[in-house]
Amino acid sequence: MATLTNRLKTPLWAWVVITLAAIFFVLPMLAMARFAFQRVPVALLGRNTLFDRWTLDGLVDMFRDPDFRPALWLSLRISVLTVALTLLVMLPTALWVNVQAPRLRSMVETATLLPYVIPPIALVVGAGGAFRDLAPWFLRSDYCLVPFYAVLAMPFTFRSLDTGLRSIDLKTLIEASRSLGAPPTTTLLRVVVPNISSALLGTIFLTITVVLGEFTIASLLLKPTLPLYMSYSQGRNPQGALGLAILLLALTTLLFFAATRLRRRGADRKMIRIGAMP
Amino acid sequence: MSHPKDMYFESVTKTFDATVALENFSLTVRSGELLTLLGPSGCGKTTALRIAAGFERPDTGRVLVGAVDITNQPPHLRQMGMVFQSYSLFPHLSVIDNVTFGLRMKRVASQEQRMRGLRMLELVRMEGLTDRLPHQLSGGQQQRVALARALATQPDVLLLDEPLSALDAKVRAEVRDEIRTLTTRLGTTTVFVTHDQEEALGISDRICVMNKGIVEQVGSPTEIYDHPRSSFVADFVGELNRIRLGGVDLVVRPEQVILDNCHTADTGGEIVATSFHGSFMRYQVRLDDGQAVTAIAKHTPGSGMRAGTRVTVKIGDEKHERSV
Ligand SMILES: Nc1ncnc2c1ncn2[C@@H]1O[C@H](COP(=O)(O)OP(=O)(O)OP(=O)(O)O)[C@@H](O)[C@H]1O
Ligand SMILES: [Mg+2]
Repeated sequence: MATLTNRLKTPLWAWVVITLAAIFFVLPMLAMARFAFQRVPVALLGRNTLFDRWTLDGLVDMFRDPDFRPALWLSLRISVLTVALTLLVMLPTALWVNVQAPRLRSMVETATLLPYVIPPIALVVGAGGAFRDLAPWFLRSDYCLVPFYAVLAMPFTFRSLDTGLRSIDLKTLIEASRSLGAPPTTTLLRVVVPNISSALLGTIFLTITVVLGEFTIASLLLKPTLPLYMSYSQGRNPQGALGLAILLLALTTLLFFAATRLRRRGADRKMIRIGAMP
Repeated sequence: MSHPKDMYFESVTKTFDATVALENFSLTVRSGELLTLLGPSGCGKTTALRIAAGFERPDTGRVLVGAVDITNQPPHLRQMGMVFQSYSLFPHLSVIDNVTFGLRMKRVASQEQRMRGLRMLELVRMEGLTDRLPHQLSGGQQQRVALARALATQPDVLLLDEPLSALDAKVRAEVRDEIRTLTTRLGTTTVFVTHDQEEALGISDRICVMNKGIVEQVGSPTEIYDHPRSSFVADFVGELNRIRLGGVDLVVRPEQVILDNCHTADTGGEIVATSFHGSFMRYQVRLDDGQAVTAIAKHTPGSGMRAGTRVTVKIGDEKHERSV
């Protein structure tokens, strides 16, 4: 018992590493926040000026900028569509892997990791070359980003859905539902979906996080998304751009933590179920 | 003889890759009876059940209910209730919502749904826990709710795939008796799968003994036990001694072996091990010529014999099988 508690205690060196890492992440952010929201030149910073002239003006100016709203709306529309496309493609894929072809899991998992190893520039150049001749209207539309983003999000979305499906006794639940008279779609919507709701929410959050953070592809295809707008407005309103960056960072961090929390809750529920078995 | 709700397997064959799960499997499940599929692991019991439920398609052969060929019907259009080996209640639904799920699918009016659901829960003595979630129930309770859920839609046939195997001994016997009482009371045609011969003998109207995808014998528990048609059945159902006494090969059940601790002329031997089972005692006996015999004797206070006791072995009056 004693050795167990000892092992569970975090050793000192771990705390040192954690603290250093936190400083590494937190310091630049504090600097960013100061720059975005405080109108005091760095040279004049000191103990006396610490609480002087904090303001949200930069951010407010940005919200008033006529280019800001269209960029925000575009990113939101693309988020929604990317979520829809992801669920439409990845949910059936994850279901198929779990019910019909568990032996193919590792292969599919590897395939979904491809976006990690293919640089976005290669993706755009490749797809661009193909579509310019086949369907030139496709790249002209702002929504052409949707499939790219769905692919970029794949490593997260597949894993999230797969974890959710593996945490329930999927095959038995589906068969119980079918034997009680539920056709396949009803089974999907009324039995499968409610039992992986946390995984679904996680998938949605992760997809939005990807869309709100992507720069390279949007820039290469010249689509005025929010990240692109932020990058361009840096020259005009650097404080507003950084303020927005902090807001986005906070939002995506929140979404990400919500997603992981939800996934853990799903896993806990399963533990309880197993615990109930004699 | 035939009834419009009898279920028939007609020469069903099913192979998985190289494994033959069922071979030319024919069986009639009579309306209202409880028929058990009994056999060792891998003999095709689950496959037969899944073909009846529509989760597997046979390679050849047909499945019928009455005159209706259901071989190619999708599962949700068949009138089959199913209880699974693993816990299969919908985790997100309360006990009552689980039980009424099938009625919702059949678009039964919501008031009637609730009434029928409550009645089913009463029948399995779960009426006090209608609003619990499945993970708040014990294993035995979960299986009783699963039984209520499968029966709520009044299926043509109830299919049970080792529904007791996750339960401990006492609960197991309880739920087993409950299944028997309930299906008899509702007159539900039932196919019960198990590899436990004691369970099969205790619960069934008829037993179908299977081996390697084929039917070995179909009959009432007593027929199967007293008149096994093959040595496989004789070995698998109940216990057997194969001994040679006085130049004759004998196949006898342990309870037909009578041990006597007073010396008479007959075959002699020595008790090498005993085990006490409450109502009866088991003895391992080594005969003087080296053969091993198992005997079972009813236990009454003071009747037990110890290991090392010398005994005389006789074979009981009941007709015993001769080298099947
Ligand atoms: N989906 C499948 N894919 C491949 N082989 C299968 C599949 N389902 C069953 N089998 C094989 O078919 C044979 C019969 O299996 P089945 O599950 O019907 O046996 P069972 O009698 O129910 O055994 P148990 O008592 O262990 O449950 C086995 O050899 C099994 O390995
Ligand atoms: Mg089985």
